[in-house]
Amino acid sequence: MVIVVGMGDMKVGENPGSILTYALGSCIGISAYDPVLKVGGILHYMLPDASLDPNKARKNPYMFGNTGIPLLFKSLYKLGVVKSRIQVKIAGGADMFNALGAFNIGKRNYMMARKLLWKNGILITTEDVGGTISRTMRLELDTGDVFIKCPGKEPYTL
Amino acid sequence: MSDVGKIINKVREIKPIPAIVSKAFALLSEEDYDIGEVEKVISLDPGITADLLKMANSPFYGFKSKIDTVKRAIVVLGSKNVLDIIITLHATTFIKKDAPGYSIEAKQMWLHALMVAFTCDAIARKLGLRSDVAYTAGLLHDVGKQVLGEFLKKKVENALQIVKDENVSFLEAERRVIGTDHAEVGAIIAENWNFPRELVNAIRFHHEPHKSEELSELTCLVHVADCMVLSSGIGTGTDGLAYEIDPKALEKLGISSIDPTFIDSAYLELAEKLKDIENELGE
Repeated sequence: MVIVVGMGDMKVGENPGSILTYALGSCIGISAYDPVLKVGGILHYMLPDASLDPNKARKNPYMFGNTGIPLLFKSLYKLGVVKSRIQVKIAGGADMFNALGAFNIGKRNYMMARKLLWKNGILITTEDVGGTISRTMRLELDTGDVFIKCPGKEPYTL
Repeated sequence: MSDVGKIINKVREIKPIPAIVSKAFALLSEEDYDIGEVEKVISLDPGITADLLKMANSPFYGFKSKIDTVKRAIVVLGSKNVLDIIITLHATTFIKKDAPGYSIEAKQMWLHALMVAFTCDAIARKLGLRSDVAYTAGLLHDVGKQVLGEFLKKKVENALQIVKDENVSFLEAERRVIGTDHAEVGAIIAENWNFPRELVNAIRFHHEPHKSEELSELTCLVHVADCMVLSSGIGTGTDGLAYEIDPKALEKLGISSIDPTFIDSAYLELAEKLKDIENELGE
């Protein structure tokens, strides 16, 4: 089964199957996976900080990094996932050229992921972030492999 | 024949727009227009009348009572929305197509166009600007990709290499490998359709507002809306986000490039709109 994660959304699942999120531009996709339980999840958030609009953040916490990231991990812990085993892979965070100040959403999004993961003692296994490309991210729940696909290109393993 | 010559020929082959759509444009561009006139124009075309009523009754607009006449649609939705719907219905025929070269599927092309159109309208309202043709300009800004894509197909790797090696925009790379770019080709198509000059310019300069002699608010709106939708990744292709943000456009619209609130809030609205549109289009 393929579970699709929309923009500003989060899904968890267990083997067999895969979790997929399309078109990460400046958004960030965080894939977290426990290889022993073969359980994982993907969060696809749009903006770093929920303080922008607390009402909207209550309605949909997955729109924001600082409300979505803790929920991704909490949802996995509920399924028995053990923190020390989690493999975290990150993709997205692209920006346009000349993305000055407020427009560098990708960079601000990425900084939030780094900051929160570091604060919680979670290491990033691998990442493919930045640049000017959009990425589709797929987590295989059987192996924990994460594939990145860019338009017009073949997918590759992250 | 050069690529540019072939492209010009292709543009000439594109069908003219129906009279009803140009009339809808003309009405939109007027300061104030008579609802009766809008009704008259639409009622002349049974196909468009049927499509309009179908759209007006869709869950997207969420009206409980049935809208069964053109007049009722105009009263309930407002004449601007009705005119936008007519243009949208027509635009599908030439935007909702695969764009080879860019590797964007028809549905994604359409989603990108709709999102830029709605974002143009939303930003215009937020800033209290005239928004009459903003929606249309947003809808059509990338129409040039449909013609240029065929020519880009063989040269896309080359274009991407130029972007990578020289750190220039994809637009510049298109010019280097083909001799023209999708914004220029789109403008020529719009000229062929006898679109108003303001609209032609908005398409021509949507990636480079600073090159426009008479920097119009419309051009800046389309630019900023496109930048937001590109950043979100919606309907992006091989070209990705590899375009420049023009600080002149932000300045002209009075959007601070330092305060993230405006951009981020507009970005949130865009995400909510995306959900509505995706529901409407069907997964």
